[in-house]
Amino acid sequence: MIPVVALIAGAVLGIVFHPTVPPALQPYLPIAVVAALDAVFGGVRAKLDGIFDDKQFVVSFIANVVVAALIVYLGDQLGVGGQLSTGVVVVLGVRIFGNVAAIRRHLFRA
Amino acid sequence: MSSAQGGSGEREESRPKDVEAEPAEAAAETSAPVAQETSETPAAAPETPTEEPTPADEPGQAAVTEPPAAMEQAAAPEPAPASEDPAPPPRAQPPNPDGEAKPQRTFTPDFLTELFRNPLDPGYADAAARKAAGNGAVGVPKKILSGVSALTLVALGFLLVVAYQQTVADEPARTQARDTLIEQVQSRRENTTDLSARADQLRSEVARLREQQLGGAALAELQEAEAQTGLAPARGPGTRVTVGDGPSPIDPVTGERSTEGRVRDTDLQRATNALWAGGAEAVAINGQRLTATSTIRQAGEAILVDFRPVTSPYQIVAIGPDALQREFRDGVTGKFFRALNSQFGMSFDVARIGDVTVEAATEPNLRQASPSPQASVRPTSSPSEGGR
Repeated sequence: MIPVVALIAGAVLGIVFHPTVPPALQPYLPIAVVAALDAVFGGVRAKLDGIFDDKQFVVSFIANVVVAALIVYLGDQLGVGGQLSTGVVVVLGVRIFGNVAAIRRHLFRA
Repeated sequence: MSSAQGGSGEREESRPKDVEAEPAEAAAETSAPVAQETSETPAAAPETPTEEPTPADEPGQAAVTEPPAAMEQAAAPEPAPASEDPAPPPRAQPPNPDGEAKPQRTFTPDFLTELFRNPLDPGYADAAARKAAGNGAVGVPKKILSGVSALTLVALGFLLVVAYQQTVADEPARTQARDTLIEQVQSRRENTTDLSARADQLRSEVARLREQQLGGAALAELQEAEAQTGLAPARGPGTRVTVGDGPSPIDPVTGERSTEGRVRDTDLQRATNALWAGGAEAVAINGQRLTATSTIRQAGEAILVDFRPVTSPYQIVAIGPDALQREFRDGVTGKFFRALNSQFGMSFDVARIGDVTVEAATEPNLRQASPSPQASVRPTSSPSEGGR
């Protein structure tokens, strides 16, 4: 319950404050979202598995976002930003998909 | 943090592959109770997962590290394969203070396989194992951790909303750019239409003024010249040659459409040249007046006259002497087209028309030439010869 409330609170904060993203950070926003989603689905699955750990969740969330942004930044500097973004999205996408499949099996037993 | 994660993930990969092939899900469901049961086993092992990053590892060593690994495996979504490992005698190892209770790490190349098989962050399994061992959440109260977790979720909600707003805000900019371009194209097009209308108006004004200034014989001569060069409409008796595409059957084997029966640009060139040769004063193809600089070209399947497409059937109207029609029909060109007609089915017709008007060429392309400033310089200084 608390996580859902927290999520909604964050969304409301975003709507209320309506921050403008600096142009320099804009390319990293989608990648950061994907990385965050990976951490979240991992957390949900861990919860359903009964091995959820707050510290692990927080650390993996922050690290995922930072590392994904760093990889894209590095790629941009090297001129392969698009390809590296694709790589990050593929890896995180596979993980999200796998975790969502596990969550699905938990919830629907199918 | 990342090192601890990586360590445990790689540790798991040191197991034999056939054991890993078990469904991760089934193992994960029973993981927590097993972790409780095995909490009696050495507690020191989970605390030291990353102390020895020895890449050069072998399956035998994985078997050596069985007791702690089995305990961790209980929490990880994998069954503990204690009975399947043959446990060969210990190999010579680097100095190891803990003796045998030391997990080894393997750097497996098969990252993607591991990713597909076990998408859950191995850190959760580690944490569960630590908790089971009785020393989880070292020094930090659980409430604070939960609060941080909730804060993280707040940040996530914020992030999602910001990303959404950003994407939505970007969209109008893109549409706006496209709309602006479309607007520009349209306004330029209107501009062109206006300008050409104005050019026509000015041209007729010029013609009127010229008529006023000149007069009599000079004007008649000028009009005659204009009619002949295509700058003015011409009117008089003439000949109409009609050429049309023949049938273009589709080859039943290859499925290709035969283009043999189509009128080519060379056919039209031949016809117009024959008409000029027969004494035509003004020639138009499908209403498109030909001048001295006109071109008849083929572009793919279309024929372009002065870069404007004309389509079959092609009507070539020529104003000329009475004998023109007969000459054309009985001449070499007439025979050529009749041969095409009988061979490929191209339609061909030559008719006399008593009175016809041929419009002026749409755009009298005035060309201006001026002597090049370098023309007087010695030819050796020409840059094209410099490198030879």
